[in-house]
Amino acid sequence: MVFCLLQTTAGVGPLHREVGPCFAVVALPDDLSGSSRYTMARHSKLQKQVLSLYRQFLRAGKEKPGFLPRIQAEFRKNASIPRMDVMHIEYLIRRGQRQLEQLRDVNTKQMGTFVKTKPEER
Amino acid sequence: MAASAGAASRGLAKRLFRPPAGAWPAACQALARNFHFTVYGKKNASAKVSDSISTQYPVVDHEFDAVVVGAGGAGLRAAFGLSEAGFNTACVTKLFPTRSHTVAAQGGINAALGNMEEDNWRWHFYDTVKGSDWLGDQDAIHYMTEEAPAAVVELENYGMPFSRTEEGKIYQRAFGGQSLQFGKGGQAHRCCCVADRTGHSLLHTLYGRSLRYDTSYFVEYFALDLLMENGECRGVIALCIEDGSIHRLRAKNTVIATGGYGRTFFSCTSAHTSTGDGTAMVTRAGLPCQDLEFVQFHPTGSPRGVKMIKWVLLSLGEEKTRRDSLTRTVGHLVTPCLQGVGIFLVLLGVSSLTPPDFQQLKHSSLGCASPVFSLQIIWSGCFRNGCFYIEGILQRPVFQPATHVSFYIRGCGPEKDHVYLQLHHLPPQQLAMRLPGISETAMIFAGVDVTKEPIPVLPTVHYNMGGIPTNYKGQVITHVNGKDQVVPGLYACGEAASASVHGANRLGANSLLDLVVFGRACALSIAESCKPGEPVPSIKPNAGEESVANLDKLRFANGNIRTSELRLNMQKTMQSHAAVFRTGSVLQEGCEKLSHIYRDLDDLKTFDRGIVWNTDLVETLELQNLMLCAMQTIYGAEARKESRGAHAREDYKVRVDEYDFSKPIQGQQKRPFEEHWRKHTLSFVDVKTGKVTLRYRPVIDKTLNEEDCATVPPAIRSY
Repeated sequence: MVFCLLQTTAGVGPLHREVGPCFAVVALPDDLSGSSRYTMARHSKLQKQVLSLYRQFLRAGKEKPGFLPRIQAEFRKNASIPRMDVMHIEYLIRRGQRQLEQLRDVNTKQMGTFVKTKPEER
Repeated sequence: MAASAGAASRGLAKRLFRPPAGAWPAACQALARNFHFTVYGKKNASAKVSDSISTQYPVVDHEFDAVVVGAGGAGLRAAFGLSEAGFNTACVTKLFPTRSHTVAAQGGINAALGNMEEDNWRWHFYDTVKGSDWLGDQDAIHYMTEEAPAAVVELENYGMPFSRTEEGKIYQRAFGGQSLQFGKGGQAHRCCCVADRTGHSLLHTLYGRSLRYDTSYFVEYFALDLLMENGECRGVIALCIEDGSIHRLRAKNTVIATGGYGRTFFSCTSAHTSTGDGTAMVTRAGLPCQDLEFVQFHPTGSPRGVKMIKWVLLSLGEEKTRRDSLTRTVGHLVTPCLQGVGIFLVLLGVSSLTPPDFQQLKHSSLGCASPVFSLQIIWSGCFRNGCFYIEGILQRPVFQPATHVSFYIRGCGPEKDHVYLQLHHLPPQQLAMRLPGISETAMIFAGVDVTKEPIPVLPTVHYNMGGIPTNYKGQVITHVNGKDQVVPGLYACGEAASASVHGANRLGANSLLDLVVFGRACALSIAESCKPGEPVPSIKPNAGEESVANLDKLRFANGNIRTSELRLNMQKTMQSHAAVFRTGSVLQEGCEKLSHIYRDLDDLKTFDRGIVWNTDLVETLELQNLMLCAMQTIYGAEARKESRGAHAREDYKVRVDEYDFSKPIQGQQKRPFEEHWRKHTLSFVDVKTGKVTLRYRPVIDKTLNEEDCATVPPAIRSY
């Protein structure tokens, strides 16, 4: 959700960090005037939930090969969902929690991708 | 024990999760199927996933000691049996466990407990061998019937709420085909039941019990294929229906318990999800399937459609007023699943009756309290011209020997394709107590109040005797150079397997027994051959690529025929060409038509291009599985030129064994293997072309312990 937040403040590009995007919110560029820190709305509970889920995912995915790019891609893809679309976001959170459980499970080993190399002739 | 297994697997995980440098190539060579498999290792963590998400399929790899595919009665029993033995088990199922088709079973479980009268499992063994028309493997039947009392007691200890007698023992009732004293002692009461909802309570009991163990459930994961390497099974590849990810579950042992394939026929009692996924997976792996032509038709099932029901009520009205002027007598019948309670099948329009007793029977008012006599239906079929053929055992209560009768009756309804089952002459309290499930089913599916009106019934596909060939331990076998050879790492149990305890015809109430006994047998044989925590065999990095390519092809299929149309064509073809009564020319025509329909699989059109909850895709995958099963069924039926058990041929009405058992064996020449039909059919399909190859395998006649339980030599099957 941090990406959504950054989009609302024009002129600030998304900060690419591998770990803890929540830190990006706290570490706002200091050259903005002091009052701007208070014009930014605080994270809603839902956004905090999403951020905490992302953090848990990154921690869990560190150990096993292949998960991190996938986690990041999925969160970035869904970052553009409007804030008000609560049903959708909650559904994705529930799904994410189930997937996180599976990721933490000791039997899950790695993640890969099957990529299509050339298009099929139809 | 579970804790140490957990610790062992955690230790294993630590050793395996960080692959040694250089072991994983960054990308495999591009392969013929146009997919390549990559793993993003820790080194290139910044590698971005490419933009064309639609042609990428994320794959999660898991490792377990054992994987069970299917969570019905057999699957759950195998899964928690394995967990109990300390194995790290995964259970992959496309349905929630309590939604599996086991829940619909009504009959009961046969076991020689001896609660109603003195009983012996050897008599049950004899009945099952005879019921299978000597096509069942006697070692597997010996195993099942000997384990039966222990299995039922185990279920009862798990909390299954059996119906009880006044003393508190498990109530056992009579069921078709069960006798005492090797067939000479009259009807046996051997079927332990839970009112008429035995399957429901069995499944719920097993599910509740399975929650005590730490099996990992993968619910709503559709198993696509087996991961085979060097003739060994090393796991399963499955599609997560919820989020569209592919999962490869590697395991040293895989158990298939996916159920039957009733949905290949137009009218069947199976759920929409009985699509033969396991049998098709095994066929695609190049392994044979056994005896698929033996499909059991239940004589009294509900027809489909509400429109027909309205018609049915109208024509009942007509017949009712004409009833008194009918010169033909109308008989009272009892169906096998409701026997012993006094149920009648009302015949409207009897055309010919064989026994003279029938002539004396007068149809008085429909409200008669007790049966004059009972007819136990053992066979029923409907011809194309609306004529029903019913065969049964006529039995007067007490002291009379049973007579075998057969007759033809005219069907009712606009298409003349069903008859009526009458229950409303019984007191409502008895109906509510003994048959609550059937009352509810009739109301929901046929819109009929059983206390007032009769239910329309017709023969429908009910059970598949055939399936994946296994030995009595549950290990999947192939037949190489005249001998049975075990496929390492692969097991099967339940309706999906053919052990073969049911042979050519299944006796009622034996299938629930088959589930629990062989589910447990698979768990025991795995425990015997492996230890928990053993290293899982490796697979090629791009294992499962064909399955993903197939998935991709179906997801973007843009042909001309919808999945539902093609499925309906297949079902109608099977229903009209491979139904109860089969004839050579009709079967051959059916084979041609079905081959044509098989080729149409390449011309499918799907509409949903997404990957999340794509039911269009799942139904198309199921159609592919059904098609493979249907091909093997009809080709096997066409090739088998005899009538045995459930496979009834009009042009070859006799059973062809190695000797003619209607005469004494002395002096007879034994027919060679190629010339008689007392053998199992093994069918292979070339998935690309749809060509079916048939081979044969001899029936196992030797029991596990000849002194304890002697082989039953073949004889003519008559009741």
